[in-house]
Amino acid sequence: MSKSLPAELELRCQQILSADQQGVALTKADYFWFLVVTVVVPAILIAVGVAL
Amino acid sequence: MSILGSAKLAEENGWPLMRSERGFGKTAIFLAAFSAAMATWCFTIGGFVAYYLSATTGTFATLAGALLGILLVTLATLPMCSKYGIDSVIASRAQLGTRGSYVSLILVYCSAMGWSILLFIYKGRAIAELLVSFDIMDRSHFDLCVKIVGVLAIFIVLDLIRKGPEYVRSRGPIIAVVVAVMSLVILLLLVQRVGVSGVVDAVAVSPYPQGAGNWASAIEVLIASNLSWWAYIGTIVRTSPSARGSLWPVVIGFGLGVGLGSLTGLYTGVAVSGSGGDPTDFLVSQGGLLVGAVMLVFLLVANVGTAMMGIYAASLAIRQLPKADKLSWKWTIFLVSVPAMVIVALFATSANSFFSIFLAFLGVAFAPICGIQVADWFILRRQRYDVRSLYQLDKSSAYFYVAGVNPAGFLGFAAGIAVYIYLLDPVTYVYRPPFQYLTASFPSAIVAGVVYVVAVRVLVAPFGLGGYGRRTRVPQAGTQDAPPVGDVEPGPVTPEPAPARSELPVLGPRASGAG
Repeated sequence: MSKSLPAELELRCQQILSADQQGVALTKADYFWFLVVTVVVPAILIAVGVAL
Repeated sequence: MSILGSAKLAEENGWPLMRSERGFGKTAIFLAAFSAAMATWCFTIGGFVAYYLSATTGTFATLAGALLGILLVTLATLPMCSKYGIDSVIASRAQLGTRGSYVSLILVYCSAMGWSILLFIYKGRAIAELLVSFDIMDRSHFDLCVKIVGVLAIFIVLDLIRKGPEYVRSRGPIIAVVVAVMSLVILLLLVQRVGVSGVVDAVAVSPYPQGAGNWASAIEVLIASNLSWWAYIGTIVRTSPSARGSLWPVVIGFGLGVGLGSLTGLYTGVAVSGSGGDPTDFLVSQGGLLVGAVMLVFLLVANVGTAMMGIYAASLAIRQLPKADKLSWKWTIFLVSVPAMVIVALFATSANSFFSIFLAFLGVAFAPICGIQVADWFILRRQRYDVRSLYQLDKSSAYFYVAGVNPAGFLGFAAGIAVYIYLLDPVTYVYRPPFQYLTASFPSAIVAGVVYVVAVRVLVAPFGLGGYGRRTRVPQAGTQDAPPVGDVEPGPVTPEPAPARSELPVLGPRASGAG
């Protein structure tokens, strides 16, 4: 037996499945540059720092 | 207000926020992130790096560690919280279970209170230093004064929090500016005292014999610190209509905010012997009575504001526990603060000891959670949640698992904790290989994620638990969550028939400016 959710929450759970209501997702390019900044840049910083 | 109710109510209850209701743009997200990150705890973080590396190498390690930390925590929170307009704790129900996610709440409470405790200790020190500077108190009473003032400061903060969430939120940007100005003045005073070369040439306070161990320790400090943004990131990005718009403000605001803020603590730590990055003593001795007093008042104002946000966030987390919402707000914030009073009284004279334990806790707790969430979202669930099941707390929820707890989630969590503790002893800070090459947080997150995936495939999915292999029924065709052909198991996850698009209420503009 399932307890029902508040009506407002129930509607929100349905509506948020629509792409129009969801947040705009990251693209592959976003992930690429994100990884560059958070993986490649730190690697360069460490390499330079160790070399000093 | 639409049929969905007010956005403010949905935001406060942690319900999904529709894209049209989300009012935070890039600038607002950046300011929220930066003002949360740029607090006086940065001095302690930088001071901890100073134990291992000099100013020059420490600068590189601090910035690298800050960016690496934000990688893990952003991947674990931003995509799902932004997509569905939910917060991090709600999102964790998919991995830990509807009841298991109470663990997330406890972790959020502990991290918010841990940072706040550091601030209360700073407050106590600032007042004690002022009293000593003006010859009102003898230095022999310094420690006792720090304890008493630290506890009293908690009561002052509690009184301010009673004014409500908007009052708390509006302090953030002011505090960030105050801390930024303080950081600049501290740097100027440092250069005045020892010169640029004095800072650059200063050696690490207490390094390991091996260079790699020092680098890994310094980087781990920043990674663990940034992992504690787990709850903050979810809360902030759900108010933005776009994950794309939130990404860089989060990376720069949280990641570089902590990184840059910590540099002041690093330089103070290496240049001022015995300071541990804490500038309170040095501010008066170097800046003179007037400048020192003004800066200590700045420090107090900044710390009161930041601690308000910390206790507020911790109280909100605790109120999500069963029956906790029956307590009045006044009692909630008081009871939430009692452990802080005890710890401030115990650790007031040894902030660094407390910080080392707290830092290890952050890594031990949040690295495995991040690893599990990343693995679940990107590998097992193909970037989709059954949103209704996140809120349905009984057996009808796909995330009820076994008595509300996902055994795979807790197996992964335990494995991640074991790996972290093996690599870096959280009490003695003695490390084991390959910590010096990998840090502790990343291996912990990776092992937790791998164990989670294996456990789901062996222990959970074969028994039809967790909603794996199923797709949520969608309200209309052509949506992002539409099931791929041939990838749907019989039986919808959502029991109600979905209305046709024309039957769905149309959401109006954002109902309130809440954010």
